[in-house]
Amino acid sequence: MDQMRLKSFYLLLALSIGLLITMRGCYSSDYVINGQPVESIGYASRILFHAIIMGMLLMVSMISMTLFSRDQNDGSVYMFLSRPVKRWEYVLGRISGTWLLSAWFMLILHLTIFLIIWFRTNEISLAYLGASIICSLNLLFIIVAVCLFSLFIPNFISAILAIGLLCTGFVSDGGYKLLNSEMLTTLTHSVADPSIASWRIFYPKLFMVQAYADSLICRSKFVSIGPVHPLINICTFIVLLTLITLLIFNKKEI
Amino acid sequence: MIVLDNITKKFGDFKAVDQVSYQVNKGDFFSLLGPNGAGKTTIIRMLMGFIQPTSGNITIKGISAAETRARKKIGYIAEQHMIPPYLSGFEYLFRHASLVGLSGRDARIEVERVVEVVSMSGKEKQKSSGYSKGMKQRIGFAAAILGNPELLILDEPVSGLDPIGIRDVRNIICDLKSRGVTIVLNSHLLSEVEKTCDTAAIIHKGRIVIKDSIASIMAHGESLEDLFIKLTQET
Repeated sequence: MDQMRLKSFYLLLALSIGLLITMRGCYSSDYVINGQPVESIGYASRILFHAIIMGMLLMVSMISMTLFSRDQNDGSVYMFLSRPVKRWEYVLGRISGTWLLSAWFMLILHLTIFLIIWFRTNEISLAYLGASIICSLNLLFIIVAVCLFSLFIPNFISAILAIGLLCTGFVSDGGYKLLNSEMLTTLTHSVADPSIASWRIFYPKLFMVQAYADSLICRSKFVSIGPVHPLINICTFIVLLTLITLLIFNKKEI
Repeated sequence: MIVLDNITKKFGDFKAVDQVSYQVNKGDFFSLLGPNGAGKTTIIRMLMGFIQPTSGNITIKGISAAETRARKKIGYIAEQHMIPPYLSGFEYLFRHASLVGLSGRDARIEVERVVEVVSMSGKEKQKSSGYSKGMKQRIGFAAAILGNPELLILDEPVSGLDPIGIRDVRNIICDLKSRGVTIVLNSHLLSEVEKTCDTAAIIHKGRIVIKDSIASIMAHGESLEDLFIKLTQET
């Protein structure tokens, strides 16, 4: 909680909820895609679902970049490590604390939309909240990646690098998904090239995690890239990056 | 209690500490003296496990200083002690209390005790961002003595303190010494060392140039200050 400072954290949360509530009009707007009217509540809620995640990914990358350096500057790291606290406990504590807090923040924002939908339609879509929890894995990935990078390179560059990783994945996987979408193949009467470069299979599947979560919300079939499910892919990356961070921090001179 | 066995620490090509060996016995009050950049703080940081020696071994109660369990029952205060600015002195000490295994009422009682000892009663609820350097140092000292440590490692503990603060800290240290706490003090204040310490080592350019009891050092007829200046200027 220290990292976000209690007051600013609650202020930001209140502002975000307020913004979502003021945007409630978008749920009753008319949306037309490809000349066809679409169900407005479901469409708007999905757009907001992804917009919130993107905002949160940017926010956690900014918070995580100073996770270790600020502790060193303000003396927190000495407070912990001059006591019988293991370095891995300190690192995991910082990472998990930031993750739980940001995931909770994101869940509350998604819960706000969930409640708006519920009041308007009397339908309970628990998958919406489940999808939010699944997407919190993306937050964890970014936190761990930024923390690891910040051990080698300047803080801001480490955040930019992690955002770059995120954007590359979104362009690569998003492009693939779009090219293989039913809508585009029908429109262009073409068949997408089924071959996939191996790096795209093993690249962190941040976009695909969100796509999988989206498929849960709209109860549609999910098609991934390659043989590995994106959740396994992202969890493997999280474990690997965490282990590397722990190994490096263990040898770091404080 | 503490054994440094042929410790060397290099930063790149620079030797900050060069083949230093000494032993501090249980209940000793040992002082590490030396000019700026002599390697005193580097030795303290190695004792605390913040950095590792390039070669040699450091053990505390027979346990390698790099191991977490070696820091059980150790109190530490850094030169220019830093307190996270968003915490009050009380919150900071309460966290320290939880890190030494105290919780709830026990932690609160212990924090109140150490706050009283360092004469910060009534100011402990203020945010540390509003503290003076001396107040931060007092809170740092309170954190160091929290949980009744067996070993105190003090890196310039009176840095930034006014004469009253220095006297208070000296009294606290003497009280802890009388209760059998082992103390390692890194200080520039030679007069304070003369008054309080049992043994001292003078370190210069990373090497120990003299190590003896204060009584033996003073037996040469020179003050500690004269000897210090002589030893650090002739090499």
